[in-house]
Amino acid sequence: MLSAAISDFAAWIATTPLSNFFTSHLWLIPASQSVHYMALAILFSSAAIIDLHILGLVRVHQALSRTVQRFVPGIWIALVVMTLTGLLLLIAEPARSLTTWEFQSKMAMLLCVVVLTLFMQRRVAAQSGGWGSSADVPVSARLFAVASLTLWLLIIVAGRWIAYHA
Amino acid sequence: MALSDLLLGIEHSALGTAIREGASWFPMLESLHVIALVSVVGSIVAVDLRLLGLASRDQPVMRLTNDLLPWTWGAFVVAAISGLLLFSSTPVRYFDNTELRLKFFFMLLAGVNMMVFHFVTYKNVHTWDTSDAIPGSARLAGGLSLAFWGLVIVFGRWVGFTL
Repeated sequence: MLSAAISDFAAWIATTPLSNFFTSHLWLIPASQSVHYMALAILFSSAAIIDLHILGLVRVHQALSRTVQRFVPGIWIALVVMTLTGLLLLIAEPARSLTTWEFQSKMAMLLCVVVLTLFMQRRVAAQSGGWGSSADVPVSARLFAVASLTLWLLIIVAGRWIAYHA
Repeated sequence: MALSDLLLGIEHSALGTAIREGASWFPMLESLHVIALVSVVGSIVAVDLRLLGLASRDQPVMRLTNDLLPWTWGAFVVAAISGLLLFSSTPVRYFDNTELRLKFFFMLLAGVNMMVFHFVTYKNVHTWDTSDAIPGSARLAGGLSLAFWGLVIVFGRWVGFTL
């Protein structure tokens, strides 16, 4: 069974020296979480600025391609930092991370939004003229923006709920 | 009415009790608080990076701030409301919590820094808005802002571990 394999994997991680280092220096967990939140501030704001631009709610005086060019690096750089701090948090508390539906759904949604964002980035780059006015923005772009915002918000909620798993 | 009476009153109120003892109020309020605070800090960081000349250099500062500040303020209101509701769950202990006090202290410093920047440095923004030469006072304001808000996040996170 997959869930048994995941539980065994989590149990094994808990026996590693790195995991034990975290549990004997517990302050490392809130420290890693703090960096996780700082990166999240940059990631979510960057994604939200792009999504809100597509929806015509912010920076409508700029071409969308400029907004994406300016803020998409924030998403990817912050995502790297969050993956690293996330890995540390996972190693520190493997069972809480790997075996809970909160964590698993968060990872599934993260995969979806990353793929969608890559698609969006490619489409905007191909659209060399940029969309002049909000009337020109295709429906697919608006759908992306709503999906992206929704997914990031649900990811944040799921992330917070990991701590409350009974 | 003594402050301790007020705090106890809030703690025993229906609202405080519901948030403290309910299964999902506190986590949902916390989630909302996180969403709001990352929006506040993220939008401020975008302006700070511009003031430090590290990002969006081709954009006038005024345009960036005009675009983002309404969202910063809106998110701040949500953060404040969710924060107050979280506080009402156990106000007696939160009030005495050193980390929470430090969090508000650094928020205050961040606010003062922003006001000094707005009323002093920003007054002649037209002269340096689009140039490469960003005044030292603007860079300082950007750097201090990053430091203060970073500490707000750190102390905010520590509240949960020290309560």
